[in-house]
Amino acid sequence: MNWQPEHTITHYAGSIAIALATLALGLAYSAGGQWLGAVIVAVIGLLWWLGDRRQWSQAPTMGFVGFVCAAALGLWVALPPLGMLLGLLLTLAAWDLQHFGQRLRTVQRVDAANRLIRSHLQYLLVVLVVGAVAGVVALGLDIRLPFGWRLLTGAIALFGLAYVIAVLRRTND
Amino acid sequence: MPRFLLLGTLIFALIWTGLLASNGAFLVLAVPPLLYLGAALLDRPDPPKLRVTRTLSTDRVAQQQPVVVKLVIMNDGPQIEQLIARDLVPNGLEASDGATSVLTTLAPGATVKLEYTLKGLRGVYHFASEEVISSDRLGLFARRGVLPAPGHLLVLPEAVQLRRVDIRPRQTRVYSGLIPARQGGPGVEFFGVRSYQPGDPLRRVNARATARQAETLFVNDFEQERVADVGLILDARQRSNVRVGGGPLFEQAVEATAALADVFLKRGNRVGLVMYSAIVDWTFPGYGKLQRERILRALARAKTYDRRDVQGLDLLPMHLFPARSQIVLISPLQAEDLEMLMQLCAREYQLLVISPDPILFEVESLGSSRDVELAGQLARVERMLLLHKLRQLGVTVIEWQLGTPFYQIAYEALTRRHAPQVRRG
Repeated sequence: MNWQPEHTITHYAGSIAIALATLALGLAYSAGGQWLGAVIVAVIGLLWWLGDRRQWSQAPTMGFVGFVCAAALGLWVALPPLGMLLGLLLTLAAWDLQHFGQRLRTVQRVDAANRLIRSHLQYLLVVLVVGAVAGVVALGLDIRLPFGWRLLTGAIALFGLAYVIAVLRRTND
Repeated sequence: MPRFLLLGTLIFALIWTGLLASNGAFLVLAVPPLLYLGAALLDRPDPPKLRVTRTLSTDRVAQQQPVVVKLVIMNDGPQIEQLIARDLVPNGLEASDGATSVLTTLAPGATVKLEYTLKGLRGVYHFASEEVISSDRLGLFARRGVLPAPGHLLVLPEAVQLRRVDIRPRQTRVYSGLIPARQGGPGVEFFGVRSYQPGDPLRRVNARATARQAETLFVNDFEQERVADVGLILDARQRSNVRVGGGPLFEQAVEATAALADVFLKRGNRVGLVMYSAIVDWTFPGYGKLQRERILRALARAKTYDRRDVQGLDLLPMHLFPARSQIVLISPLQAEDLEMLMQLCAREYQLLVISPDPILFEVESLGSSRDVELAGQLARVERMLLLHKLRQLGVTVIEWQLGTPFYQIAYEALTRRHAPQVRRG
């Protein structure tokens, strides 16, 4: 497979997103005095970036799961949620861009590459911006649910998500 | 693990952690992935309605000759945000110039073209289908499909041009040709001296023989030249086929058979082909270019097979060959073959065996060690004994060391100038 300009664009965009996600999560951890956490985040980021450079197929998945766990752990140890949210958004972007890059590399030719990449980036950007706005708004909300309601909400989330995934698995060839 | 499944699992884990820990921030973390999933779901592609047409620059080509494959994919359905189309190239063919796969976006009614060049080894190739994967812009949901795009390609074996191969079957056909017929008559080669018959041209009178006899005229007789029946037998038994890094021995045998068929047919003979393995693949004898094409097509699909219950050439369908005709066996030979070859000689077939040397072919690939050397020597002695017995039966045996090109072997061993003397029967 030949290395083409569109691969370079997505490759750099993915690398930048990994760096920014690492920076956001690392800064949030270090601001909260969690130096070990910051180091672990830096190591995960470095490994993710290396995996991306060497084109390990599982690198995006590992990096994504690692950073989402790091963001969740950050919330658990009461680090600022805004930093975690920002880190997660950038992680999502990096994960997406790496998979997009992988998809570009699986083919020998990309037609209308600029249009394809622009369309993808625009859609991703919209999703991230809406996600960021929704996240920030959600952070400002304070809704208290009794235990029963929480259980019910969790059950609905469980069954709803399981149903959607089951349907998708059936139709997603 | 599919991406949407990973994303769903993480969302679910965040929601449940948030609910159990009574911490809304976890729920907030689940919002962007949830939106990402939702956005991909909204953009999810419908089942694609695509048509593919395939055209090949030719459906018949010589080995390693390029063939241009063109595919046109037409979208009869709605817009496809991302489409990966990948042609499934049959094993044995190699794509060189161009691309066999493409990623594109396809509007309704639009087309995308794929064009590439193929080269390949001898064989019959069937193109079955084209793989298409349509997905949303985020690439989270994919619909995979296989579109029928049939096509056939025949890659014929290389037939080296041999200048001539001289054979002397015990019986020829009635039509004039280039094979000595073992009968006196009009011809070029001196055949003998006989007494004058009314009508013989005077320039044929042999003055010396006439001078020795009183009142009798003698004339020179020439050997008639006619076309002959030639049966080619290609040994396609798996057990005869030695396979090493440089490729299988069988390929060399196939190319030699193609070259022989070509030269015999060019010289006007009637040629048939039997590929002997677990199944007997028979090309009925015929003349000319059409028969050459039939034989090359048969050789293109030649494969090696094995049957445990058949060791030697026992199942050779000898009734297919006219009695006393020329038979050319192309085989590395097995010890068990001797009996059948003796039977062929007993039935007065004129037998020519071209035997690619499997021992040298295999030993060279095994590297040098004392064990290999010893095993090679033993195998060589066994082979020499077999060939010696065949020569004693009157079989012409050409041992082909595969380092030497076949045309050179054919020139040295099979042209009349160099060929071993054969008794006139």
